[in-house]
Amino acid sequence: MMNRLNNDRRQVMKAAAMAAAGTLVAGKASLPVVQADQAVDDLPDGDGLSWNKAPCRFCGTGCHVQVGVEDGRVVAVAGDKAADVNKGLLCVKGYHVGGILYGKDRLTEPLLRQEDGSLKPIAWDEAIEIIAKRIFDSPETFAFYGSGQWTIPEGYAAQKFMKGGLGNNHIDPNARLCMASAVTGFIATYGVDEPAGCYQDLDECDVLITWGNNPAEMHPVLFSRVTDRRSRGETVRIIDIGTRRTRTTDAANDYLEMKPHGDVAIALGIMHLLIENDNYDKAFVEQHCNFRALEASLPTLQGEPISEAEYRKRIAKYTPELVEELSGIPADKIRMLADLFADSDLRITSLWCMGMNQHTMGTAINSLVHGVHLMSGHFGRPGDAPTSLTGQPSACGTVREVGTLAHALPGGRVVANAEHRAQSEAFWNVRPGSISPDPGYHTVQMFEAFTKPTDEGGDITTMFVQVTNPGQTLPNLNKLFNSKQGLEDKFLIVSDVYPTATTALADLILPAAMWVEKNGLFGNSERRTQQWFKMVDPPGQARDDCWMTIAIARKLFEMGHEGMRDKDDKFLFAIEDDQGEEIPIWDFAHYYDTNVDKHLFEEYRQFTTLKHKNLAPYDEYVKARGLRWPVVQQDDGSWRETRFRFAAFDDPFVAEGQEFDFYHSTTDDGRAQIWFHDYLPPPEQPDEEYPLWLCTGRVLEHWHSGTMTRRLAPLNRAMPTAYVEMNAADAKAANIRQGETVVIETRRGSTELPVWIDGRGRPPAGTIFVPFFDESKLINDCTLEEHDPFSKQPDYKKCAARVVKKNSVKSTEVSS
Amino acid sequence: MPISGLVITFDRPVAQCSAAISALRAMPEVDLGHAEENKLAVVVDTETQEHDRLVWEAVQQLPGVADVAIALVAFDKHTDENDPRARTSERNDEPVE
Repeated sequence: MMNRLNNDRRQVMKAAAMAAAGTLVAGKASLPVVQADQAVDDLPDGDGLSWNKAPCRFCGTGCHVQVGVEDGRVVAVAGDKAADVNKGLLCVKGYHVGGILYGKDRLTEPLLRQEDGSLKPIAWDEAIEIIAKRIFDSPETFAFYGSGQWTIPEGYAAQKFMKGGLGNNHIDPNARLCMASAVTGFIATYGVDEPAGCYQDLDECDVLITWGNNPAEMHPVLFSRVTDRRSRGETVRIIDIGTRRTRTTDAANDYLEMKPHGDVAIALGIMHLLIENDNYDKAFVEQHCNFRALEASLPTLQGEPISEAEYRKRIAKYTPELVEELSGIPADKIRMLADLFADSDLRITSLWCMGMNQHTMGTAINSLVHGVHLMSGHFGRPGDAPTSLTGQPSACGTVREVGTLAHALPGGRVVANAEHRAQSEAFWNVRPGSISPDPGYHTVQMFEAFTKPTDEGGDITTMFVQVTNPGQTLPNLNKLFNSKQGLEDKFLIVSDVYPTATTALADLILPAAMWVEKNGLFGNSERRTQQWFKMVDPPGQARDDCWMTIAIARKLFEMGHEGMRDKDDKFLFAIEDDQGEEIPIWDFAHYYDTNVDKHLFEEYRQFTTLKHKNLAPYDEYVKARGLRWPVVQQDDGSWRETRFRFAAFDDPFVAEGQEFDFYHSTTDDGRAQIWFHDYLPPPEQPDEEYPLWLCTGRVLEHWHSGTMTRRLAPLNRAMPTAYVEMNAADAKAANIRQGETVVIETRRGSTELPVWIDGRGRPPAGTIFVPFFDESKLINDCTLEEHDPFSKQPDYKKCAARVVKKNSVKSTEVSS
Repeated sequence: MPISGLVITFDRPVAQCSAAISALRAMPEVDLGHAEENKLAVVVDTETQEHDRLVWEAVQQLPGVADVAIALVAFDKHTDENDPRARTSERNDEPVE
């Protein structure tokens, strides 16, 4: 193993670094992009150093890196110049992506909790047997909680195991907490999930509107595509609509500071003015859109039709003045936004992420922003797009496409539909009726059922958590997670790479392989499916999550669980070699005798044609730096990706003769839906007792719950602890000083944090912000589990809180 | 060790950023490479990732720097630095008046 690189190697790597950077600089007007399967030949090799491609492990942008491996260890990372997403560049987290493998406290062996609370190492065979026995004894009370960090094959295996094998739909992912409202917004509007546009919109827009979104810190490589255009002399107007100033604000031409929930009013106000001023895109609306509203009773995502006249009547009250009252944005700024959308010569891209998704009106605000773009005709041309971003590397590929949600099946199918169940049963070759028609528990319900005593109706008794950290990220942790403690009959299994807030309460901990320690496929925010191969071994006995699922399934098969046999009495995950002999992939020694990912992906690929999310064969992804679906085979045998859906100039599924075709329209007429939703106030608002708005979120240095980035000393030193951002006026009024430790209290819990006054993010008076990356300062003890009625996604962005000086005999509360 | 190849983007042509270029030349850890229009390639060679981060932050603060992105980073053993015990450290900001 290499320690310090010698001088020769140092000079080689310096030359390579200079060449890599110099090549990008020499790109002149735009950064260079080489062909997808072209070798990256300016990277040094020889002496045992080899390079291979992988997508970055962190956010949903999907940057590709070249990973340098020597002596079985990752020793270098380079931006992949063959990758269209990042064009050879990486952000600060990408810089560190290789280091996340090498924290000192990697989990390396299965650990079983003992009666005295200690953890005892056990063998993998014993661990798998314990899990299988619990499931065998009570399959209906088992739940599987997964992740947008699951690879596509990991999520697919879990999905098949649960819904096809156990007939149990209690599987849901952490993505429920981050993008479920985007899903319901897309489905309500277009009848099918995921953005129509792609990152090219950022290269071609004249106006970029960030709705409660901070891409400068959360998706910096994407944001740099816009700022890079500006530095080349192009004019791009950035309008930041948010509840606090961020680094995105610093780059914005206009900052519109709204009240929490104000986005709903703003979108309604823009549409009101487009109609009032009669300058919406009538041709586009008449040819391609319907108007829609919620049913008066039992509202659904399909809604009910309303006429244009009725739409006008309902939206008439959202005058700029009322919107100013509701949102805090001056009426003239609402008019400015409406005037921009009325200008058909402009190209306007909207970006959003958690701000619009973690929202009790998440489905509504997502649908309304789509409606603004549809009504104004700012749709379907490069640069004209409403686009949601994801925070995890495969929230799209695994959760949304494989459908690892409690109600869903792969390929846009749902369990409640008999035809969909039959299709899935056929692809899985399981017996008819194997899949339950009843949706399982969504995340909040699942943890309520797990943490409530069994004799009080808590009917989940065993839970398997893979690749996520709900002990830190669930809202209202005291209710939804911490209350598991002391419940003797509840059994928590956690697979992870490091000890976390979740493993702290786990009964069985499984050490997992991560990133390039295993094969994988991710799907990023622009529908791009990306593949990589295993490059290094995981430490100790750490193993692939996908293997764990298959090994548990095999043990159940051996115990006689009927669901683990297909219609031909073969094992549910059987893979045969060229001679027809079954490969024992449940034995980890043989797991890599074949490419399990490829087998699972090819099986999954059958589903993807059912809703025009067509994927290419696995081997096409081996050659490419990702392909955006639908990927359709051409007459010459090649595979073509799609950049812009529903637009005839690029989407192969648009009907002949149509300019636009929303071919999954919920109204079966090729039209998208322009929704009306009335503004509703947030479920909890500041009052005398809790006078401040609390907003939570992320920081540049740390990724989500910090379990990886807090192991990286430079990032940890740069941002060692969570903090509470306060407005200077609020702090001064309460005699709170910079750096002072205070107590944040809500009706659900409290946590202690140092104060950062007017720091990187600058909240307005009456608002505080706390990042959630710090496991030693759990702000989710304080947050609210209230969620959107359709997406079931909780609102982490707004609840009522107070700041209390620590050690004060009588609480000193900060009033707004 | 880490060695990183960075792309610095200025908000004006590199030729007009003499103050920043002088400052970069004065940094012993930094080698300047190819420049074109408003972009400049540099290599940063330091002994620790922490030192590398400090150099990076200094570069970001230079006048006219609009963005710093990474093209390549090479490193060796992280384990000396990546000690989970560091995760308990506290912020140490000065009080304000």
